[in-house]
Amino acid sequence: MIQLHALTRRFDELLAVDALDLTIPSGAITALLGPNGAGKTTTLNMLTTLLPPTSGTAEVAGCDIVENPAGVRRAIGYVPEHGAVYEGLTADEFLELAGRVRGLESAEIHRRATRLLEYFEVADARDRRLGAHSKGMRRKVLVTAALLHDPDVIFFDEPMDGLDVKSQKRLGELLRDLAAEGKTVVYSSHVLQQVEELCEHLVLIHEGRLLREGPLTDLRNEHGGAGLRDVFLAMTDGAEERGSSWHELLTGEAPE
Amino acid sequence: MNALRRLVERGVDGAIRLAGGDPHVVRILSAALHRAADGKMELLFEQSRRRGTMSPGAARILLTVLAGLGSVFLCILFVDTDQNPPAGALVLAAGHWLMGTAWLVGRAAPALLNDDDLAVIGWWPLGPRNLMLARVGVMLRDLLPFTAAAATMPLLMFLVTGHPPMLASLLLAAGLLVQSCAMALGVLLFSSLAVMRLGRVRMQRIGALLADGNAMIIIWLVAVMSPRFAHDLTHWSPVHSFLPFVWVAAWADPMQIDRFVLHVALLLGSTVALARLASRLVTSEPTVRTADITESKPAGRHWTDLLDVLLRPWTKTIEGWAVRRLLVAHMRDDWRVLGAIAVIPLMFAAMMLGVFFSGSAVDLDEEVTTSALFAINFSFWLPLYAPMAFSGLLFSSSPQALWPLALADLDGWAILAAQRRVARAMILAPMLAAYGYRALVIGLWWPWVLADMLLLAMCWEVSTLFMQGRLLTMPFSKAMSSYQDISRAATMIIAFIMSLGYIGIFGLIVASPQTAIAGWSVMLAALAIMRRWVRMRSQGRRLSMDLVPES
Repeated sequence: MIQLHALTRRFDELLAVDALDLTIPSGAITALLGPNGAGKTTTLNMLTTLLPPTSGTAEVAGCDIVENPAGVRRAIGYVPEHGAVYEGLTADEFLELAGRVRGLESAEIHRRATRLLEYFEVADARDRRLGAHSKGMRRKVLVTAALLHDPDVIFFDEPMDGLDVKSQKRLGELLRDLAAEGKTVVYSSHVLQQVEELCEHLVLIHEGRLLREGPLTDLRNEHGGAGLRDVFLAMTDGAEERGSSWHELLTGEAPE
Repeated sequence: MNALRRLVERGVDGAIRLAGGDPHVVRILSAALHRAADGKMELLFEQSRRRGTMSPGAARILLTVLAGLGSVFLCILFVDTDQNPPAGALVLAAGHWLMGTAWLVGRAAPALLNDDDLAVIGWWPLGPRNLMLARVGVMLRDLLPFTAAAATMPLLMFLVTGHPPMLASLLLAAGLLVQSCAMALGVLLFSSLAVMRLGRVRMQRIGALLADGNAMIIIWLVAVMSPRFAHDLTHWSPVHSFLPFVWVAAWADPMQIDRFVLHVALLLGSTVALARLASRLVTSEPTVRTADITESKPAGRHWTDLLDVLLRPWTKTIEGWAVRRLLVAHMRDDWRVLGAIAVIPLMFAAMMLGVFFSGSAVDLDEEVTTSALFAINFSFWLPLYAPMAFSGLLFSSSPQALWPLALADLDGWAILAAQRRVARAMILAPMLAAYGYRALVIGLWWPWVLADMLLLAMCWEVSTLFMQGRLLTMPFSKAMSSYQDISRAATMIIAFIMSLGYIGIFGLIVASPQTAIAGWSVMLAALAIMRRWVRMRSQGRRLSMDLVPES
């Protein structure tokens, strides 16, 4: 479980995250949604201890992100959107590093990595440097690294990005299994169709503030059973009509 | 061989455990940082193999061999001298300290300030001590072969000649080893303190400036300071005990027992102190500093806007516009580019304008290092700078952003011509202006000054044309990595060889009127041939760029 207590982050004049108070339950996949610049990445950075909050705090798997960031790091897995890896390492070396820093023995790391890499059909490339991997292959290695130590809380930031359809399906099934095991799964994405398929719980933020949290079905029912896309647009002022044609948009002149 | 390797690995693991780290984590992380510092050099080498680029491994071996050969000369001093401390040992220790520190500073930016650290391991429960040991390991990995090469020659000299004494050679080797550790720890400590004070982004920029600037600083220090430095230090005085490399040199002189004990204690004590300080500092900080995630702000005005305006007259074609915009974009954020372009003319101008030289006229009674004529002689370095300065216009931290230019119908020859014009305006012209001013102030005859400037400009042009024809690379299109360091090593060797050719031509020109005609003719012919060669290779073609890394 994750609990945010007035979690705030300010960058000079800009209030990126404004006193977020909410609870993300375990045993469910929770979508973290918001338009561009809403504060999702800043929130994730704070919850994963990459960025200290300006004020407020949060508890991740029972550890305070300000008081005990090391405890948080031991308890979490994270698949970042940027997908950064040490490109000079092979997949095997990278996974060994990821496992060893969490106290796993090499043999155990190898066993777990083999199973996960085979599940994602990327085991053949394990001895190749990550710099030579495709975006999708690298993403699979990152998911493997995030899950290797069986964390209680896992953050996924656009995890499907770069994955083929089959891999997306497999990762989706894996996420459901993780949630069914009682883990806390946070899923941030702009692909609302995927969110609708996978997530039961939703946190919607806009301009750094919490707009809504709760079960996804409740939110849809409140909007007359509308799809998530329409609900999202209605709640984030995104539903206005464009009101101009391509020609007008390009040239600034009304069509004849 | 395998048994020896295992033995070394066990020794390294033992040392890591002794220092409180996990050998598995430290070794893999050290490899990751080392390869991250090297960037995609192997992939890039695969792409560049046919263009005659030196392989990274070969460049490292070459540098190590050069270090070994350099110590031969110092060994001769070592054998022949009766001075205290032995001059050879002193110069060897000073050279090791200077070159090693410069190399580490060049390596420090990518190894200690790697952006991937935050993105990859920022959220991992990685022990700070493991990170510190991995960083020290990265630096020692480069430094120890260099140290071994420098220390081996005195030992070989002993085997062949019986001089210097075996004990002195062994002690000197041990001293150099300890100095290597102290240097790695010192650089780590200094850079960690600087990151704490200035932030990661600013330090990355300073590191980027130093990556190209430190080579110039070494050349300057060696050329300008060494005569006085050597003269003073061979006359021993207690004040020299403040210089770290004197502590090492004294190891080779165990018969001077008081001084020997003092300096051994100083070196060992300072190394232990550095280790303790570095350990305490790094482990007291968050594993990876995160304070540099900042908000995006409107760009506003920037000094590079002025550069954009100033360069317009030389970049009127569409290709010229592209080169100018790329230059301005890189000067804003890519301080490595700024360093590569700006440091060289600044060093040159400093020498020419007499910042470091008091003499204002030709005075043969003056000490050589204070003579204005001495400063003027540095003009012969200008052609040596050309390929190095030119290489600063090749690299980028975001070469993938060039895709719009890759898709545009741009002519390779026109781009290269614009690149040369920009290099002339930004690098050559200020250096020639500084040279001309200084030469006139000290009273050289102006037609000679003009002729000299013309000759230097022609040398510059031949060198840049040669680099362009050899690489056929789009400006600001090579991935930023320490492949750049490797490439720079190759570039320096090429620049040195070309400079030897120029010096030969200078010799022809000053020898007699007849040979002067031959010298000028050779220069004109070289210029025409180079232009024709580059034009043939680039006109109507797309230049090479690192848009699509090949796996």
